Amino acid sequence: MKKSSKIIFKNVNIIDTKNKTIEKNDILIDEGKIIKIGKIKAENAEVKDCTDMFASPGLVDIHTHLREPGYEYKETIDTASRAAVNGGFVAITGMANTKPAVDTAGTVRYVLERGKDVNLARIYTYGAVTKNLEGKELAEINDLAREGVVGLSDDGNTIMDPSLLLRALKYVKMFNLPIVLHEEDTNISEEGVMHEGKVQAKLGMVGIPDLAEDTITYRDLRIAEYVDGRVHVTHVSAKKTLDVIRHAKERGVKVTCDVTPHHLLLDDTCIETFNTNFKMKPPLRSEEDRLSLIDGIKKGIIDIIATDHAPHAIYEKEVEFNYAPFGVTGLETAFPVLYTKLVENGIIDIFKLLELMNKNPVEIFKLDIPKSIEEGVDATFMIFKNEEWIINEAYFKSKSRNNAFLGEKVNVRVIYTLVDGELKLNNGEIEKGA
Amino acid sequence: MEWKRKDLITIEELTPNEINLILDTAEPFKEILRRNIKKVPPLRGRTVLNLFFEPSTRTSASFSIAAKRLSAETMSISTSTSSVKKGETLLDTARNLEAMRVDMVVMRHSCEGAPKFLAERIEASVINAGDGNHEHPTQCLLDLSTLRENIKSFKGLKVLIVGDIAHSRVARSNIWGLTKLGAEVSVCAPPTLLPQNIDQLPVNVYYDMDKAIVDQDVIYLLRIQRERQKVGLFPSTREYMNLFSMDRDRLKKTKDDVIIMHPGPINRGVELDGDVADGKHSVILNQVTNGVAVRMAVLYLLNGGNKDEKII
Repeated sequence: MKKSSKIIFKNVNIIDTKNKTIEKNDILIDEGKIIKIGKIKAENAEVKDCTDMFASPGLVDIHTHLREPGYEYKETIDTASRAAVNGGFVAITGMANTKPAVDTAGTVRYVLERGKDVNLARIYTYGAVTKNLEGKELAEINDLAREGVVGLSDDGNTIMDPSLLLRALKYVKMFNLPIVLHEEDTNISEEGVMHEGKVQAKLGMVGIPDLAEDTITYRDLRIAEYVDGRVHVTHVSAKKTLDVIRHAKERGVKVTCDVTPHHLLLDDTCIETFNTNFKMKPPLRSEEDRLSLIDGIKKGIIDIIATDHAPHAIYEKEVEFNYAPFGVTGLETAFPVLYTKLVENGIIDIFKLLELMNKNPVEIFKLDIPKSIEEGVDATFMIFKNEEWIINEAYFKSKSRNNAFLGEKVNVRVIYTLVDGELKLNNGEIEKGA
Repeated sequence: MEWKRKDLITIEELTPNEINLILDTAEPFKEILRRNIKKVPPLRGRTVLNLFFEPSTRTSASFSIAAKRLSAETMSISTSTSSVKKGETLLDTARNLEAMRVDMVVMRHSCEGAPKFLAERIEASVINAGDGNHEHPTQCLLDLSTLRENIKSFKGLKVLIVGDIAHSRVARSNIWGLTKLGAEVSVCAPPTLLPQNIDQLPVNVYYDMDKAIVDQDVIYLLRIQRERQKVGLFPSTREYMNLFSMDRDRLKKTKDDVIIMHPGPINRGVELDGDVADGKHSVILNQVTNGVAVRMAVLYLLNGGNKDEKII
């Protein structure tokens, strides 16, 4: 292991997530750890003046489409890692829908080793529940677990056969891994491209009713309850789904869930522009649904904010709305938009946001990432500052540009991202091979 | 008033004044179409391209005739002859058209929003000739123009649209156009052929045709697509006809001076009885004639024409 040099972050506002306070101090890091927090005399160390900046535990994403192996023209583990640290993320979790799918020990090892080679953000991965994500036969889950997957998911494909999900949830109990569920009854959603609602009635496009999400969520949570299995419902989009999850939580079902920044901040009226950067699954829903999701994070029914970072090549997205693939990127915009729209507007505080983007994902998926900035812990955190700017394509380090917040004015910018004491983002620029 | 838009994409976005401007502009063109020599010069030296990504006979022909009557150069590209089949994207098509300095593009596409996509990317004017289930603005305008010849006022006019509302761009454009001018619009269809959120559109909803038709001034039948039956939206054509066909018996229950309309092509004997289609209440062929005049008006206005200008 290469040892990092000493760095002092001077006069930085340190967000103390344990005591929910913010205090101005200096941070000294060395050999990958936070050595000291306090007034630090310049010793033989690089000094970063962080006046007016904030130090925060690093963000963690549990829903990233790395696209490698197989779709390197959309994104690679390298470019996804760059995007991650550019957005303040110190760890991201790849979904299994690559080509080949992450359904064998070899693919898991490949993804994790590529992540180490790239050496920017920490790379975790899910393994597939079923072979080639086909929803027919269980993958060799012991192999996946042994190689270190943090959960199992056929994300993108709903496990439509309830008996298969029943078996899968029973089987994985011996590995103590959660199954992450993409909840979309494809018999209902069929060829739908947007939320079935007021806007869809006007535009005439094929709709995806909320019904496609909440009914199958109910089914799956009953199965989880029946076998006492652990499930995580990803990208909840609708009020009715949230009701189903809340009831299940009240009954003691082992269920957690996440929501994306775009479902928290945007609704289906965006589709009137026919801009394909508003096309994703699940679709942007009604204003009422959106407000219920905000309420869900406030009340703690929603545990995590996850990006569902889904890069696509420009030429794939710049087509007729019906022909564009589903998905938008999110790693680089999640924190700026959420901070600007939720924290600055007083809807939630910064501590709550960090609970949703650091503490809860770390605890639920048992990730080895610090949840606080304090002496003795790994120097894995990020520093941001208040600055007004407009999200633009030149800012992106991702290979793709399909972002729903392009042109949005935000008031915060990530300046430094550190992983294990190494500066991965240094004053807004990626540090490679430092 | 003056026309300010580069494109005609939807009726929903138009003001009543803009709609009336197009309808007023169409009137002198109707007169021109009755002449022996039907050609006038306003679009001399202009190129109008029909870009049809979906099969169409009458709309394409109607636009071509309209453009030729205005002395424009016209060209038609349809999917079977275009490079779309060779995998070219709409964006590349747009860039190529731009490079050829086309002045106006009349576009039909099976995807909602495709004309808007094109309009945002080229300088030429784009006219939506039907985008998926979304809108078909010139169909609505020709329907309004035809109605104007037969009624005193749109205020309080009762119009019933019957058929596959969910999948109909004609219905959507007409709902906006008619209500903007003050008409009261109702729809009648099996619930499977209505949008789930039909309550969000400014219409009354009927399932029972016999009740719906009683005091309507206008009954507008939509073409029923047989594919809808194949995917189970109704059990059989026979059952659909029993419930929703405008036949001679139902005609007896309507107002004496009811106006019967249809956007064509008609499935004779399915949504509309042949005798009713050809009978005295029908204005279906007037719709077709007025289609040319209204499209002339649209081309003329988008080209910068002024309704008060002398056209010759």
